[in-house]
Amino acid sequence: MGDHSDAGFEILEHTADVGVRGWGGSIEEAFRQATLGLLDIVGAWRPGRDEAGERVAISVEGRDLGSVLVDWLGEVLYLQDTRDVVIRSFEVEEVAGDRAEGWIELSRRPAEIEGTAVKAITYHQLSVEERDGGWTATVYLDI
Amino acid sequence: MEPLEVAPYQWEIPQGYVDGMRVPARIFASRSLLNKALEDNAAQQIANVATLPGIVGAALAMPDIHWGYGFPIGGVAATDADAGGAVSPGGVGFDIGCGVRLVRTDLSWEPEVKPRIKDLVSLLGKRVPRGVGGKGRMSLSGRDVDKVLTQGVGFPLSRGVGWEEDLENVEDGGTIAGADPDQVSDRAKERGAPQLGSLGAGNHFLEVQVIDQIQDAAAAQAMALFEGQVVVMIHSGSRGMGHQTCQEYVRQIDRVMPELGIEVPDRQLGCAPIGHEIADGYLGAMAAAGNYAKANRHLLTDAAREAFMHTFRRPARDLGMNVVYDVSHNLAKIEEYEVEGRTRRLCVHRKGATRAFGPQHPELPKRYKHIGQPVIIPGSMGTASYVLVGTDGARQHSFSSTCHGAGRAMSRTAAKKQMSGVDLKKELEDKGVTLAASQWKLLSEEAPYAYKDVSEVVATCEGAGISQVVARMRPVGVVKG
Repeated sequence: MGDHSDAGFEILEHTADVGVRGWGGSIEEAFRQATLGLLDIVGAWRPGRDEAGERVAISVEGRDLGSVLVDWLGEVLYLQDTRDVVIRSFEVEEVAGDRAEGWIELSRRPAEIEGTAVKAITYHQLSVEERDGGWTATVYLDI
Repeated sequence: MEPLEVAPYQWEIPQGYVDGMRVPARIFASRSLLNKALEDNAAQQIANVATLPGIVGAALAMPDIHWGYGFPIGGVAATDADAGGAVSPGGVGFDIGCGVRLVRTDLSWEPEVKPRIKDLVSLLGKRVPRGVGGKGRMSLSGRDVDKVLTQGVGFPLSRGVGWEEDLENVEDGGTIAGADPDQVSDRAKERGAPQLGSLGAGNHFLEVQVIDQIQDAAAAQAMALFEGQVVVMIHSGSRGMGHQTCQEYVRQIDRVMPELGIEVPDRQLGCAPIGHEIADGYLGAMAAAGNYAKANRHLLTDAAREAFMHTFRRPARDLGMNVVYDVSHNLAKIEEYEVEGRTRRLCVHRKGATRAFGPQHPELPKRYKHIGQPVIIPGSMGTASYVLVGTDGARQHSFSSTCHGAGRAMSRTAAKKQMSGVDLKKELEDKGVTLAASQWKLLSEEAPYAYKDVSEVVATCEGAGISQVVARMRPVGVVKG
């Protein structure tokens, strides 16, 4: 899954909702970190879960990197909410210009999920940018 | 920026504050509420709303305004539907049709309900599906989803859930006209199908409340409310159905904006002119998701009636559990107003704002014609809630809109830092509030101190003449999403 050092995410304060900023050495890593931020808020990130799950491919297209990020996270949220599952693993394989490719592994949810329901991914103060040789992806979520 | 006080409780941000403003922005607020709006990004956001194509009058912010995404929460924008006015899905929000329903009872807090409150809340907790994920009270098969989207409250009624007379006390008679299920994607239907009749999470709740003050006896009488009475308030929306619908339309509009030549200061304000295929598709889908939200609150009402019936061993009808009113605070509606000397058809976006028709409005049920439309204002958890009525002043000043709640004042992270969920539970219980929550850890995200003072918000609406207080309630039982 590549080198994850000097990569991470932070939760951004907002009066009613919540923002996520992910960063890393590549755009894929920044997307990955933003995804981890989303899953952390929802409480659906379970990398340690024994039971192997179903792997679903994700392929999205947007009019720029920002809309690709919104669509990517939108797919993750749609799958998590519709299937009512937790996420065991995922991979952002490639982000290029107007599209992103990868997959996500869904696993049966435990009875209790400790997290906040996220309604949707917004375009508010959306940004994906290259800075000092790394990438950051910033997005706000509707709670 | 220092907005100008143009009338009592009305502050104006002039055109030019943000490039491209077509009208001024106006904030309904007391001095202290205005300061709160200026502290977060809300005042800037309402100025951004004033750039929407075809907006008339002013971009308006209700006293509970706070930072949202695109639109502020508490934002109202009216665009001219026949003169290039735009509709913005972000101006309705992801929780399409989210709103509040108030159900009355014949029961008094003392001596009837107080000794049974723990049993009652525990039973409500079991019967009201809530929290992240999970299934609702009514699972829908393929064709039934479309029926819910078209018929709203009519669908669960046709299945024998609820009472015929509930309909007249729901905004739009329980069914929003113009709903088009074909404009709702399969994905939205898939997300919404299992969730009908569930509360959701976040700020959604079902509360048992006691009326502790009647301020307008005549209006209270028309609504059959009395001091000491126990009522049930339900706050919920359109669940995954609405969220997915909004997400997809914001996306579609974001894609066509460049070719439509529309520029907005925040992408989440994306919009398309009414009459454009996407705009009209959205309005049909929005009405459909709004109908889902109404049906959802209707099924939650049924859960409340069941829990009361089992606790008090009397049928819900004998307990007088009629719907007082059900009204949304996230919708865009076509309504007529006189602007610059002529009657115009406007698309009124209310994002965290409640419709507040004054007395004699033709759309009001007969029993409320003389008092105006009931407006249900949920407070923050553990604080007061209110019943208001709409006024003529609202028609003149705010496109018949008023506040929708207390309005947040603190981020979720900050709220959690201040107190743990378990401590908050104890504090509320010490105050005499019985609680059922899906998880205690996150309870303090919704703590009362994270919100503005609902009493000040309501008093400001009254001061500005956009609604009048009828009754105040205090919570005694809370079922949290």
